[in-house]
Amino acid sequence: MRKKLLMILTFIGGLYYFVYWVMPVESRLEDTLAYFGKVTLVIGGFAFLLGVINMVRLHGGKIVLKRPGYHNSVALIVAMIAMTLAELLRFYIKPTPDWVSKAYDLLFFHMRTPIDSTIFSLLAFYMASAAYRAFRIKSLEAGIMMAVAVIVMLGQITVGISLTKWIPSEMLQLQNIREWFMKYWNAAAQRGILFGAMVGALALSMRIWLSLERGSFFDRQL
Amino acid sequence: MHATYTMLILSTLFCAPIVYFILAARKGREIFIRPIAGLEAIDEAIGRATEMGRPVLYVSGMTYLDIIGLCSMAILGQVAKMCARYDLRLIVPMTSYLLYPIAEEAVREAYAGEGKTDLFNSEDIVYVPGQFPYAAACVGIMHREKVAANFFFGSFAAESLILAEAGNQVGAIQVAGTISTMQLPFFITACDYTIIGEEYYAATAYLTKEPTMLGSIVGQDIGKLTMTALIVLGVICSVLVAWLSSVHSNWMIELLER
Repeated sequence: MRKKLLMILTFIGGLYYFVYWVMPVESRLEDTLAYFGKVTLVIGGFAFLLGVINMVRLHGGKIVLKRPGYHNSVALIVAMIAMTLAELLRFYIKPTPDWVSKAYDLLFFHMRTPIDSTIFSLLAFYMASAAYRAFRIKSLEAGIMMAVAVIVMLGQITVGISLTKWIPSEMLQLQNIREWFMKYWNAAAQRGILFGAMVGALALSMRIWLSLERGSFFDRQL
Repeated sequence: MHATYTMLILSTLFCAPIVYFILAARKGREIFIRPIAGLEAIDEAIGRATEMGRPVLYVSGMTYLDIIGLCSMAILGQVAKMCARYDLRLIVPMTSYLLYPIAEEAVREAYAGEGKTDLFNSEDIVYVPGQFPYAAACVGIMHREKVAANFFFGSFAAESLILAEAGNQVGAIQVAGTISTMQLPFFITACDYTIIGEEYYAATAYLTKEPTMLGSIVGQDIGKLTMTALIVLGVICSVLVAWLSSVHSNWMIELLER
């Protein structure tokens, strides 16, 4: 009975959005869309609380039991409380006191943002190590890929562009060859992959809408 | 966004084969799907983790509550079932607060379904909001827990290479699946197996081998063939329009342009 009810609710939920898509812009469903969007936000708020509870439970347990690395958990809980307080004070106290703005700027712009950038910067080193390990010319296809990669890379930098600036025919200049590769070959391949993926998404959406999907949501087919 | 008549016709053309083959599969029609190496490798990866006695990490990336996220959770359920079968620990960091309870429930049900409720640890489903905090948390887990297998299924952005390379550093076998064409090159370079495009959406059907779901995959392939035929027809029509406009056949041009 419970599963049949879930199936009916899923179908009605999907049917609403399908009918909204099919109906013209002037239809009365236009007003209801914002309402359902707000309902989704409210439910999302409760789900967010679950995530915060998980974090506090996990790291609080580590602190209480003094498991290895509990000092990291202390730092996380302190940072979470400090950031939450700074934002709440900034939002609710109007006009915002100077010390609250400074505290928020310190925490967000002078601590969190540089830490984010630090992790992002790892990408440069990982890219070099991945390229060094993976790019080997072992076959004709790999050789062609390497040649095209060199042309595309050179066509994007000033040094590369200046290498072929002297060629009278613009078609043979590196930046134009690079644009030709990106605009026709690369774009076509990406569109082909995306096209297949979108059709796959349509099939999966239909399976979920009609409750035919098997897995953690439905332990057996209905 | 609202549908036009063309969109309605195209949607019907795509959806009709999917529904037809689902019904045909339900009636017992044999469905063949070609082997997908990346999905076959999930078994191999879990087997390797079992031999080494090390945990498995499932990374869903920057996935939110959309079709990609739901597919990721369905794959997670299958992976969790296999991990439970072999008494493996499964760690699932989540960045989406909407998907986090779904992931916890999926893993809990998978372990319960295999009769291994005592092995399920809710602390292994970790909520880590934010892109780079999530990447840092996953890299930390990989190095501390010395994971033997990594699964990357979902939407990824700049953190994809950080995750995949960190997994390489600890020697984990890695299977990745995403529809993001910008991140596919990084996964192809750094992972052992990569699942591309529509194979990602076919994963649950492929792993469960349910006839109804396999039927939907055949239906989507027919839909793609239909669109390919329409593209070819459109190219022929465009060429004919260009040729006929040079010979001034107005009625033919109007017919083709319609």
